[in-house]
Amino acid sequence: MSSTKIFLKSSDDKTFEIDETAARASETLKNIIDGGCLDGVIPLPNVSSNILPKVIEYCKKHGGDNGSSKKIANGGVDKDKEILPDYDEEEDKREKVRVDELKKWEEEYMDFDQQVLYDLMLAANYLHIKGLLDLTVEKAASMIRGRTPDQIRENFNINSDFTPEEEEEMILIEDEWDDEWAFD
Amino acid sequence: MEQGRTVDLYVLPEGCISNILSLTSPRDACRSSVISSVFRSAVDSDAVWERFLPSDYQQILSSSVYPFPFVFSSKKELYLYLCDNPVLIDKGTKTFALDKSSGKKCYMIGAKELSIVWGDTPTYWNWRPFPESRFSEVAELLNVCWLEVRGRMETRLLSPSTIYVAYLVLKFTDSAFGFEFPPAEVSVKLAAAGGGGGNSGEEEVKAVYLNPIGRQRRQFGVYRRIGLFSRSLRFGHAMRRQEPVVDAADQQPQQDRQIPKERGDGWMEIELGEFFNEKGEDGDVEMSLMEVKGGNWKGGLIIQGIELRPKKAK
Repeated sequence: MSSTKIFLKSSDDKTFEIDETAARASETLKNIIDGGCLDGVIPLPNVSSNILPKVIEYCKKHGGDNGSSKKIANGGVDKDKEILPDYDEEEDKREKVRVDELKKWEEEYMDFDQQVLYDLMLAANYLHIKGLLDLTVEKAASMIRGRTPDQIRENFNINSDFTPEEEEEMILIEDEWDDEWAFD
Repeated sequence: MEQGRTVDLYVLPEGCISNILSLTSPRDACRSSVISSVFRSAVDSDAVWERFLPSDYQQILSSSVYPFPFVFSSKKELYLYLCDNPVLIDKGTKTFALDKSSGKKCYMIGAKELSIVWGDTPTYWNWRPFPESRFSEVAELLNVCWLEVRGRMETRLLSPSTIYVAYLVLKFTDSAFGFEFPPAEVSVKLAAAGGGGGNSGEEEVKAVYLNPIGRQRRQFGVYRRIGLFSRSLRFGHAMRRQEPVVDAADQQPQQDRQIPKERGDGWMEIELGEFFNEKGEDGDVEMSLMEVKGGNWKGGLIIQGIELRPKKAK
């Protein structure tokens, strides 16, 4: 357990501190650290000071335990036992408690509006934090699943940029698909 | 034309939007294409449709009977093709297709791959080509008392985490006879791989009515007479469902009575049952249709095969 501190500088020139172990949750930061190009402060021109603390919060929670963050990222579908070489019941129980606790944490962590979602997704993408990217992408996907186009536009706060003619055409195509689906 | 278009979402690289869409369903993705042009181009990307195609689709298509030379301009086009055009695979014994709304695998097992009791006896069953069939031959029931059709499929070939429904795909000839009574019994169960009449898994037997649609009315009178007769004959014969078939027929509300339904392709189908394919590690699924209790002669049934497809989400 190294407690070396790393300093990150946001796009608007604010500096934040993070433990090296936590920073390693980001592939991008990990490569910089391992590459030995660490020169005091790491500038992150694509991440603003609004979102960086949120990213650091995630890294703190997940740094150094990549195994379980992966499992969570898969929505718990893939919690195969072979991940643990010496499988024993106690360990399994503890693991389950930990996973449940982490899930709850993630639920609370992910409770924010769509502007934060976009920024967080971009930051996760830029910093290569797979678990965080998966979480944000999943949240966005849940805003689409089973919704009508109008609901989706509302969820994402976007307007259609089609001409009325185009729009008409698209709606026709959509109806056609819906009919087919209803049929079989 | 464009009023007050916000740019929030458009800060995301297209890869991100494709990524999001690939976590929805094909149906959701297609719906999203009407949202805006950015969505539309993301929806059409191969990255999205590659994820909707089964991971082993290339391997499956490599066993296509006819070379699969079609060049598709996109993965979406390939996906849509596979939804509407079942591909004959495995030496012509099965067809493979995709369920349009979920992208899950659908198979039809051709009649030749089914085990049909008396199927080898030409006076009982006739094997012949049939223009509207996917397979080179269909099984035509000429005349038989003991009607028993069974099919097997390895569950590992099916999509995981999916409820599948099995259907017998059939037609009746104009001179079909003998299906009025009693109902046929259908079942679907999971069994150990390789046969041996698996004893694992629950077997639920359901009654279905094969009688060709349109003749129902007339048959009700017949049901009762034959029913009483056969019940007295077989009094004490343990019936699986604990109650005489005639009573089941009378008590079952009309809408619950399974009868063959029209398919979109000119054939009819009758549901044999459903099962949950968890990881595809359950060995085989065994499906059957039997009508061996009435003892009467019946004929005029044409069997194309047994189809397995995901249960529609309501």
